[in-house]
Amino acid sequence: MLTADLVRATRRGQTLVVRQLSGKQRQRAEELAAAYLEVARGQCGATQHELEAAWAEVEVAPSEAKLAAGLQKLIEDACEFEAEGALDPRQLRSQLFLAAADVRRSLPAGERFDRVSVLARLGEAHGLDPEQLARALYSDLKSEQRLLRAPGSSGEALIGTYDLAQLQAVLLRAVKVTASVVCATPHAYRELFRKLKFRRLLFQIQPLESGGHRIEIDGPFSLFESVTKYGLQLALLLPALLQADRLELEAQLRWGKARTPLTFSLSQRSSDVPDSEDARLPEEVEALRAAFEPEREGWRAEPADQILNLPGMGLCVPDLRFVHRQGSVVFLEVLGYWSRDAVWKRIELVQAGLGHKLLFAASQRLRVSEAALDDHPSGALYVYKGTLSAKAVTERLERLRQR
Amino acid sequence: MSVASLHFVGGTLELRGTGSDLGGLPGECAWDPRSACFRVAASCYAPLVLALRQLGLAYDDQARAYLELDFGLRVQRAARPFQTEALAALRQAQGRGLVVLPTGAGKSHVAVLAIDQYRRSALVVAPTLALVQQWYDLLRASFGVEVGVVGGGEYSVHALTVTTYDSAYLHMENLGARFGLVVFDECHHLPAEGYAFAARQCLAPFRLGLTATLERADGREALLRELVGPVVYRKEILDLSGEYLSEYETEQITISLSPAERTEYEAQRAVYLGFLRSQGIRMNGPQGWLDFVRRSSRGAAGRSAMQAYRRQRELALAAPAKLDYLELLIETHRDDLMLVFTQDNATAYEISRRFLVPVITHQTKVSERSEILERFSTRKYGVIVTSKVLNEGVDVPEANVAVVLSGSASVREHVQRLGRILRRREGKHARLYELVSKGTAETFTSERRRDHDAYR
Repeated sequence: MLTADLVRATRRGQTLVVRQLSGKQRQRAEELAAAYLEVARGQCGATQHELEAAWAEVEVAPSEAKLAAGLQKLIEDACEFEAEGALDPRQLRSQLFLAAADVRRSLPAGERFDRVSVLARLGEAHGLDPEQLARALYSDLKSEQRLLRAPGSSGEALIGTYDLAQLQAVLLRAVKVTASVVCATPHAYRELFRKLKFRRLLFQIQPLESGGHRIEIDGPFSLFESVTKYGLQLALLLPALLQADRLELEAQLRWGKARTPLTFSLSQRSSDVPDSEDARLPEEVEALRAAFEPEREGWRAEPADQILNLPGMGLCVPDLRFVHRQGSVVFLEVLGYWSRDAVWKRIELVQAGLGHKLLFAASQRLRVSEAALDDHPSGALYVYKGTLSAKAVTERLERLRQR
Repeated sequence: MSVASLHFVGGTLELRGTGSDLGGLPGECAWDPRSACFRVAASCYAPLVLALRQLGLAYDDQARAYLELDFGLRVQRAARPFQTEALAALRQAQGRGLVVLPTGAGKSHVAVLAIDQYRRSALVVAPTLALVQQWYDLLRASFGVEVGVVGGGEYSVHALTVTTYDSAYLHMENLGARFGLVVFDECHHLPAEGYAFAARQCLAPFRLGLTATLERADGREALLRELVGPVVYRKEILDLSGEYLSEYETEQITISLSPAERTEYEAQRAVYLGFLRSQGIRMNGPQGWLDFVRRSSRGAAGRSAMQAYRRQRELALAAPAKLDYLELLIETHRDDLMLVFTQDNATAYEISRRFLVPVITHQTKVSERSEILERFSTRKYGVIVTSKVLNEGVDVPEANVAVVLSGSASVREHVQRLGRILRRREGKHARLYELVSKGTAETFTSERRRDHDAYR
């Protein structure tokens, strides 16, 4: 990943604008990336210090300095370095400094310490001349590590990595991210929230009138102070946010040494959103929905686009929304073979009072019993064997309607 | 109605299971709609628990994860009077406070006594890995238990654990509930933004800060009161000299550059100063350096000005003439134990290669560092060269000569370097040399550095 100081960005009023590589610039950046990659591949066996010196020989204009440093950082991250040479430098140091201290202590008054002869004596034992030995002394320092393998990727691929890395590096300095997202499938939302939870971030969700959801993301401490402590987590979350079919992102930053409050925006629309809503449902769920067409005992089914969130308890993303002719609404989330734990979480959610009627479908293989939510006024479990049955679902919907 | 419960989440405390209208909590507590609970910085644990008790609210404390120790001090060392006084003052302040004592006076023993007194899982936070190593040795020897280390590639947590400020910033959101006592060594570092954040993420009700020098260039030391506690005990260097510290002597040696070096120095400096003038940059303002860095990155003139700046500084700090003089000092003090301090790593490694003496920098692994210090204390090595690593409170009691080859204009740094060779040792006479280049910008730095009690 890039560091924040390597981001190529300009301030425009209160906003930070990342300078995108376009047209000629992009072409030049790809050339530069290819050149650095080629240099790196040609420097196998050289020290990190020498690799950097070799890169420094590639001519860049002053205006390209940051781009160059960023590309070098990304390549170096992907390089594999060998820690030490054949001789153990630590042992060399230990032997040499002991010998030198001995010599120094036993010198007759007035006689000078002879560095070269001390080096020569130990060097001989290792087949090194004095200067070679002096050089080998610190070969375990990072700057003296040798390059084993450089990445085989193309300049174009590296620039692709660079584009994302720039955006992520901006978020390293974010104190809060607000994302308006539209995901085509409940599954995609679940993935996103799973990753949010994994990163231990906190959020608030609001449905948007235009469809989709607005998610404000920060961390526990953000309640008291705007801190950049969660920047790394936010940066790591970005790829998951970019998976959304539509994304409008706004980040509050503390930018630069002065930690100037700036905002940063990003918008993305995935090009291949499926046309038909129904096409986005998993096959078994789509089959169930179709079985309620046009309706079944007064119930219609449609893809759900809500996220049901109970702060402090958790959330669920239903697959279908059932509406009865007389107005009752019941959501269905298909947990399938997911995990027993997921089922218990849902039971807790229902018991805590989610504010909606919910039916959870779990496979028999999860070894849970429908009795776990028996007679609950707003939730029920449907344990199924094989495939989802429209008849069994209807029975449970009716029971929930009458509670 | 479910019972209320207290949880430690990411360096904050969550009070769950109450309504948002609960009154009587400390003012810092805020209702958090994201998770439908009250939230407060973990450092507010003690006042929050007191408030809950006062409210008579039953709660299940799932936050506190520290233990009461089932062991105490294994080695009883007679405490010096000021150590006992410091401990009593801490107790008077409900176990939260700062103890200010000169380097070498035995601050760490105050912390050992505090751990023994409070008998809670304790975390010691120190600025460098060298100090972490030293605390590790001290705690293990004093309490005879396994001690945890977090930092420098290690991550093991025990009832007594030592970490660096940097690792504390990274890990406190996971570790913050596991210690009842936290000790901030060299706590003048704590007010830096990230470190202060780590202190807020720690719920330890007992907090002890140790330092020799409270004053910071940015004046943020007032924050220490909130993060740790008030100053409960303070003794200055002159109060203790002679009695508990070695006698010491300082000598400044001014070294002229050779004619060739002088010519190059002047030329490089002219380039650098010319750039400052042409850009109207004033170096004596607080923004001067930043301004220079920013402008020097734009265009060829700026870049060569930066190069010139680095070269003239290198000449002033590590002029060959200085290294020649260092050679003389090493020869003269052949029977002494000498520490050589440099400003930067490059100079430290250069000295190591030239004089074939061991070097300790932040890149030196813990085990190699121990080996070097051990050989030094048994006189197998006569000289150690180091950059800033040994700067703070590292115990090298055998050293009786220190050479400051170059240094920055910080009073604190200098006192601590001086302090290192002042560690108490019967009949020791310590000597400090400072090698400064004549007529370079460094002379001013040196004068500022001497502006401290220890030199009067």
